[in-house]
Amino acid sequence: MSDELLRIEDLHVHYGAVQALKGVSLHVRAGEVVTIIGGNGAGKSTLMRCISGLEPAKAGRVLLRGQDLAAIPGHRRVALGIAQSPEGRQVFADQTVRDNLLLGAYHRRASAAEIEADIQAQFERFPRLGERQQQMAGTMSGGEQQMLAIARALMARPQLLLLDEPSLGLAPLIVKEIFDTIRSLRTLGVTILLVEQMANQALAVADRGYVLETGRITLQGAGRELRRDPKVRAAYLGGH
Amino acid sequence: MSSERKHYLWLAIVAALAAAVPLFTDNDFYLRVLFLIGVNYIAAAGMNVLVGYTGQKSLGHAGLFAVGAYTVALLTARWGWNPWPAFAAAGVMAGIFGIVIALPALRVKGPALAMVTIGFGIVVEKIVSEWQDVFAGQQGIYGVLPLSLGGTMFSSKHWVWFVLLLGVALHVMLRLLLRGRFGRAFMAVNTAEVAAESVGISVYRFKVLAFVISAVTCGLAGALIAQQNQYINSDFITFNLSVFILLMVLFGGHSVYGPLLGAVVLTLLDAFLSRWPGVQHFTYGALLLFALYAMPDGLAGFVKKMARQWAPRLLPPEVLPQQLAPWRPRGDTASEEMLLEAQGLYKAYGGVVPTNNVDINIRAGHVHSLIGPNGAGKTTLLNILSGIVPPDKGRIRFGGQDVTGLPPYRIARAGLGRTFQNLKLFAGMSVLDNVKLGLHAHIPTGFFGSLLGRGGSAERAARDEALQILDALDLRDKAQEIAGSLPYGVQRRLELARALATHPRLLLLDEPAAGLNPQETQELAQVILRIRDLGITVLLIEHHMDLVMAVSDHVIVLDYGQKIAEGAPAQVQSDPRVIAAYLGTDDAEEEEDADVR
Amino acid sequence: MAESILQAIFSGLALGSIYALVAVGFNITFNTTKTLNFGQGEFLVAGAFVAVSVLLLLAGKQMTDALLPAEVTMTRYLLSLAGSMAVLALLGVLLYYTAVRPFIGQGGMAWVMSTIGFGIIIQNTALAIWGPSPLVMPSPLGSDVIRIGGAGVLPQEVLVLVASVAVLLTLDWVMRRTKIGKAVRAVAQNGSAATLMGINVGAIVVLAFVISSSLAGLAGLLIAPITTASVFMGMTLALKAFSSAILGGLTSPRGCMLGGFVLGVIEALVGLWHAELREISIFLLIIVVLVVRPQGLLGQRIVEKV
Repeated sequence: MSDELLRIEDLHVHYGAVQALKGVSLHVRAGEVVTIIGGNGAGKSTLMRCISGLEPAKAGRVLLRGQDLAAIPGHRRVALGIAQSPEGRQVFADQTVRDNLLLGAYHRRASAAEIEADIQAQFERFPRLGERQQQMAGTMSGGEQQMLAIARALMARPQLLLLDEPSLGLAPLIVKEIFDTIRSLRTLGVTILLVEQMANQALAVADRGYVLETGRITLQGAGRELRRDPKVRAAYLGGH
Repeated sequence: MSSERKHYLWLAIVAALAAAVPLFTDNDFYLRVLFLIGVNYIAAAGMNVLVGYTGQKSLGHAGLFAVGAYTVALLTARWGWNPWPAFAAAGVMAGIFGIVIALPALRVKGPALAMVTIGFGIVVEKIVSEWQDVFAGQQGIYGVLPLSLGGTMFSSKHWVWFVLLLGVALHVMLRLLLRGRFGRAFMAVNTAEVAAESVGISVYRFKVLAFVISAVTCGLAGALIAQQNQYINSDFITFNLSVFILLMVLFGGHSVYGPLLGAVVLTLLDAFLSRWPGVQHFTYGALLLFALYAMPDGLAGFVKKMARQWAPRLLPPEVLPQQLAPWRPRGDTASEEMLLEAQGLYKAYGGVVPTNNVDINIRAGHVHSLIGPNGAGKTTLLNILSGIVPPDKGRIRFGGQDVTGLPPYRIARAGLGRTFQNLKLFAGMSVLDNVKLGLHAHIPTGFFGSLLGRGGSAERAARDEALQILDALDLRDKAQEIAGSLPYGVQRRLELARALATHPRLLLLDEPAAGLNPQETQELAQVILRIRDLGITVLLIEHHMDLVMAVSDHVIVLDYGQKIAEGAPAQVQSDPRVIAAYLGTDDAEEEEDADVR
Repeated sequence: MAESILQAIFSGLALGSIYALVAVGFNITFNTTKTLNFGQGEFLVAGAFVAVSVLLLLAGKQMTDALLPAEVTMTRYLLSLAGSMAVLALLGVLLYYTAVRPFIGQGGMAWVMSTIGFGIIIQNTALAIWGPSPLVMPSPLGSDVIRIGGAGVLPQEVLVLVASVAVLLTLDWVMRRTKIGKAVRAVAQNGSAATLMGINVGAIVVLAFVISSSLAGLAGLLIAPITTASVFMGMTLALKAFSSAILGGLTSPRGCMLGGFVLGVIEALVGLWHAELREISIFLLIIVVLVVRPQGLLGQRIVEKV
């Protein structure tokens, strides 16, 4: 497919002694928002880490625009256009908001002016970050840290944005804000792969979705349809 | 012939051979080398308990050697003590210094511990070389009284026999100690501290004990050197000595025979290279690196591996009893209604609050499940209940006793067992030993009892009970395999067996089904129900909803650090708050439909 | 009396700045890899000896000759600094690949022993090349005592203090304001998140060891003219530097600097009072710190995840 940005073929990944992914295949087209939902232990974060090169694959392939990423180490994948807001946010707690954003642009060969312009753009999108420019990232609330993690990833000017469980540990109101933000990112033309536990919100914002259960894709379809599918609820809370 | 008898036979033969050497030669050099091997063995044997078994690396034992040496020197040369009580006093003093150093030092881990021990060694070095009045620095103390029998001072030959006698006695005692519950406990402390605490072992106390044992033997070694030379000065006490003592153990390996191999090889090397001290030390540095790369288990481990491959009958596996009764846990079961009551539990890490004012009540004899989305704070709650994390606020009553803030090993001994989300087995030990460690707190043999070999019957009883527990979980046929080599599902069952062995009243299971396939999950459900039928109360954290629904009497739901629902499984499953917590709200759907219109 | 105290404080600050340099070296590698070089003392000694050799070379003399004060000009001193730091940087890389990387992430702290082993090898190599007698390095600033407020101070001590402070301030600035400094801090904070930024963690770690070893070399060079620098002084110095790190907080660069200066002054003042109690008092102080506040003055408690 010529407009296919990411393709994952029969991926097998181990996490410690356990096999976390047992033959996962999916694809993401340019401009789409695709979500992968599932409960704990489903393997969602392992998948994200593997795409970003933090976790090796036992078997299977990860292809970006048709290019096999196997030989490419993690720190080079950013330059290829993949940026991630990782699980738990993982902001650099001992550095300021501004420095975190600068680190997001670390690999870019751009002028200081260009990067500064990007920083200002992030502050426009996330005004609370602008207010707290010089604040230490570790002292911010969970929701603010999540905004920072997303902004930091956007500083890399990615083509593919990976969001790993942005709702993790956040209060419902903040979660709503986060999902509004994700919705607004569509206008940027960034392709988004969103991994989430909060099935309803994720499926509402996505074009397509996959359901991941103990390392396998068990359901897939358009976002709207999956939302109404009772099998999704059963995947989380057990069948009757 | 049993393997015990075989061991003593070999010991007697080797000892006799060694004792025969002084009868056939008058060469002072050889006798001295033999003597030094003995002294070094004594130091290394104790050091092995600290470094090899318990895994604490100390680089300051030259300081303890000095304590022993200077104690005999001062007592006999300055204050005219009889050499025998002086010798004993050396061991005692070294032990006291060992406690004094260990108490603060073992509160820290890693590099800080190494540095503190180095610091201790260097401070002692400085004291004995600079405090001239008492210790006479480089000049040294003359007239140290050697040991004597019936008026005659020990000759070179006597020294060899004496050291041989001491060495054999030490070997026998340490071997008895290390083969029993103390040896297992030391190794457990080395492998997985948190797991050791969970079976009732006070990690701190065992580290201190290991340190004191090594201090006493190094002190005795120092006293022997001082008394044999009838002289001691500060040149003996150097950092290189500390490295040498450590090197013997690292090079020799941490089995019971490691120190012997290390002492023999390194003493001989030392004797040969003594003419070129520069080369000598260089060799130690190189040997250190070599041992770390090529022989992480030391020479003894290497030999064992070879023996297993080429001469397996030399190390036969233990023969285990076959027919045993089915296992029953001891202790009162379900005497109270509420086994565990916790109120107002609160824990914060900076701006994150994983436990936010949670009350939890566990009814005896039931299976409870704790569920909630990722990040809800379930594992933190379990860690608070088992004592690994002290709560900022709140109280916990377990079996009528307030256990808030008690260290984990005390809570374990009060009857709370647990398993861990990320398996924490004692991976290098056998399956049987892992379960025997679970029984640790229930084996009555004390420290001195172990040294003197009194623990035999208690050990056998423990072995039998461990086998019974393995039987109950279908692990009997794997009893002698190494825990770390088992498939994942079996390892999980082993952790469960170990937790059962602690005779818990309440068993906490942290994601016991993680990584299990559907069939194994079904088997686990059966096991949990069997455990409940044995009278043990269970609290488990799980994400596998089918498992939770199948085994639970009562389900508690956490979200965002707070309890949002509890009750019977079916009730909780259809509670809209619970559904919202997992799947998110439906507000968005209404919004979207509004947009479409 | 006041002059002796002032003098002691000044010497203490000079010596303390050396501790600070070495302690910051510990901090950089510990933060990025959770390891540190237990043979750092031998690196310091090596730095001093390499510098002396360069100076002898520039003066056209043999390895075993002695240096005359006139032969140590400022230019030559700086050249010897360059040579020393270059050699030490290489040693740092070698140390990382042979004694640290094979053992990272394993339990059992094998890296403690392997770095000690490496240090012993360095020490005995130095012994073989330069012999056991202390080396003589005259100060490039001469040995005429300067009087500051009645206290007698050696010009080299002033140089040590000024140079160390300059280097420490530069390091602090680099860590906080430059792109590479932020990258190093990112690696120290969270290696996988740093990788997500496109930072090559492996390369940064090697850089950390290069900086750490060069700092040790610099410290050796600075201290050589004012102490009896022999092949055997390494361990004591490293120990004091590590004590400084414990006092100030091993995980905090500023803490390590602070700890160095505080320790140096305490040592000097105790030395003034009772010379033989110097080392013991430091040791006792560290025990107290470990018991009362194990993370040091500015450090942070490391929480272990179960």
